[in-house]
Amino acid sequence: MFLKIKVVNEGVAKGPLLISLQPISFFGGVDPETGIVVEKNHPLEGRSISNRILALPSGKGSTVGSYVVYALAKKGVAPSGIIVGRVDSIISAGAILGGIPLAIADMKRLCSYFEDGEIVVLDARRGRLYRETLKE
Amino acid sequence: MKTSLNEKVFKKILSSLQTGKKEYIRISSAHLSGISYLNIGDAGLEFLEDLSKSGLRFRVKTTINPGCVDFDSPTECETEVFEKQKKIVNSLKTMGAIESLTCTPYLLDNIVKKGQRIAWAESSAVLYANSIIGAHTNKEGSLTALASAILGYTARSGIHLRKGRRPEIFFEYQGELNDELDYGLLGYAIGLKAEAKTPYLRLTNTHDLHLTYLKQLLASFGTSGSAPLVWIEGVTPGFSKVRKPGRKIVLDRHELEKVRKMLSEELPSNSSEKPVFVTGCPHYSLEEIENLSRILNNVKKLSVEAWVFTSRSVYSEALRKRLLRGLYERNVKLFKDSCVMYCGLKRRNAYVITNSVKAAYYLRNSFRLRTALKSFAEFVNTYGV
Repeated sequence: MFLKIKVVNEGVAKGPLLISLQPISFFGGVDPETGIVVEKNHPLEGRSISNRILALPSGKGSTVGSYVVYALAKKGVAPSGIIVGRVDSIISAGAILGGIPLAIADMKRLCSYFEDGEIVVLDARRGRLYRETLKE
Repeated sequence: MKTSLNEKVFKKILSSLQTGKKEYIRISSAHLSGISYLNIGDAGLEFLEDLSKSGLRFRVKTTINPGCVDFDSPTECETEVFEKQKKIVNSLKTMGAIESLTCTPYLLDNIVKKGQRIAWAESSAVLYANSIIGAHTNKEGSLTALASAILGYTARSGIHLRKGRRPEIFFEYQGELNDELDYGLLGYAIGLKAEAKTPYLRLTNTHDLHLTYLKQLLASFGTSGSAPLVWIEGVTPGFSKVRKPGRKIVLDRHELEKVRKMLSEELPSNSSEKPVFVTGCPHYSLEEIENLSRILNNVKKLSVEAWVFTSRSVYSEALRKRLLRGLYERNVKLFKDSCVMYCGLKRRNAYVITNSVKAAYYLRNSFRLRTALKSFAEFVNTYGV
């Protein structure tokens, strides 16, 4: 079983799913050195987005956010893949610059199919998001 | 993780933002935003340095927005900020940018013509290019403008299509507009009401559709509204041929007062604090500098400092034409390479009086300064001695 996703930036990534029900401002809201969310009162405040499959409705705030996504990728502390609820120019540009697989999905369905923290595969080639299944 | 910056990456950025048909159109000029270190920080600096090392170069004439320092006044800002701003500019110069450091490239540094397809960021310049000159540019973001400068083309969408230029909402202003501030207040009020729609604007009772006033109107429209173009009756090339939207929204002085209240607070009369007057948002033209000198001729001196922001090109011209004589003695300081979002102003943390609605908006919201709106003449009346 998989969830259909619309590919924005091609690539395949695997990791624990991190769901943010609120938009994230990468500029000012995420520490570009560590990938930890620092925005006050954000549901993810204090948590790291590094090496997760980050699912969020959209970005917000300054367009400089694209440079922060790029900086995170360069330092190896970016999400390994990103899923957004709708087209977002800040995150799109950042993910493309940083070489991070990016896709668009229906966030409601995503939340009903998957649980926060479970290991998922973001296949932004074939346009699929699925649970990791063990093969012998 | 390894990241590589090449043309393919920038092509992808343009195509990822296009819904529907992916078509492109050649451009002959680009103007970049996201230049100030106070805005883009270390993440932006690092990115631009990587980019200049990648070997990519600009294919079209490319100018850049102001930074946050005046390169002739190194002591006004922290050394670190000064040095980092220099690195940002050097990276862009390496790629072929003209070191214009101005938000008014259309004045001298990047002159464009009617009908020319361009990719400009910086909303006030976009609105001026489209609405006054009749060039065609969308309101590009820092990265899409950068992508277009590198690739030499932009997405064929929005304003590059005939239907993307159509006026969608009709405003008529009834009443007098007396000075640059009135025009600025009106622009902001229209932007609030138009939201994303392209306005058609008729000004009644104005005999003087002066470019320096319209520049204020458009800059503040760009602060509150999101359209890249305002059809101004009697000004915008082709205005007589477009179909005006049906229902007309009539505006009057009340709308201006509403905006003034939003962005202006009086300094308490018992305060001993020295305010600073800030102007040149958008950057002053030669004409505006001349006008400033003329108004100042009536006074010996100002009791508080007036800071004027302009481009290096205009500054040099003004110097050559001897327009700057007597300004320093009257407590007027000119700054280049930066805009009102100047590190020295942030550092001073003063109460700011300005004649620019856009400046008031950003100084309040980004620099957290207190602001009052007054026209330059009004300011000189109050503080001239």
